[in-house]
Amino acid sequence: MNTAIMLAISSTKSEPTVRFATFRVEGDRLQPDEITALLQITPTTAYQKGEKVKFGPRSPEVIANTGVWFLSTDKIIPSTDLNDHLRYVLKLALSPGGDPMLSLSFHDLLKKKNLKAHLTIFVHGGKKPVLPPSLEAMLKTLPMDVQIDFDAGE
Amino acid sequence: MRPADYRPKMAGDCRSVVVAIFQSPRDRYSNLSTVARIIWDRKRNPTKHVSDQLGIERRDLRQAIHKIKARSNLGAADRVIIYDDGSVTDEHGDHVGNILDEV
Repeated sequence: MNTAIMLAISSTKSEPTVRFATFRVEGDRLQPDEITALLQITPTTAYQKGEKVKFGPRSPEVIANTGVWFLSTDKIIPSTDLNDHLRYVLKLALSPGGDPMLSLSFHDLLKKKNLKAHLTIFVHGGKKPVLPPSLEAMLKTLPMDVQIDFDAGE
Repeated sequence: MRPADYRPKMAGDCRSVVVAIFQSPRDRYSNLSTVARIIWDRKRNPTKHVSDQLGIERRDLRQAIHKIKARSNLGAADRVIIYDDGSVTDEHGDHVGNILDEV
């Protein structure tokens, strides 16, 4: 897996860039603790449908219209290399806690509770990231969609 | 995300105008200072003008918006409305976060 991911992104080092990934699971029947137990990591934020949520000190309390388990790698992975961020998320989805059986349980839970998983890739500055076919094929085997948010910067 | 008890006031809000008429000049002024104005409501990525209004770098603004959208089940192309106090709502007016909380 690592070889494929290492080839994932080509980018210039000539200007400061920001790169990270986010991983979100959402659905009306989502129970955050179930996802946390399976993936064995504390999310950036998580809540269930109908729960009162406050996103930060400047945000008002709102009622969640669906359940969300959300992880952003920008505060976890200090690297500016997108490969490191993608490797982290893929490891989470393929072998959480180093146990591939937990991954199967995770995928079963998604199916059973009709939950959706999403991976987003953020790149600001440098060249547009290009995912090689091998990585795209790997991502297609996972029950998640992928979105890339790219801006070349000023 | 359905706001529990909050919606940013807009500059042209009729209620604000009616209330302001019956207030003393001092109260009226202090009320106006709390009104959040829309500084971005387009589909594409916010410009440097928006980050300047919020007093942050543009890359920090984009990073914050990406996280807010990703958390809120909004895609990169989905429109959000940004206010000068950092509040962000989706196109239905539902609060989805505050940029200054994410920076």
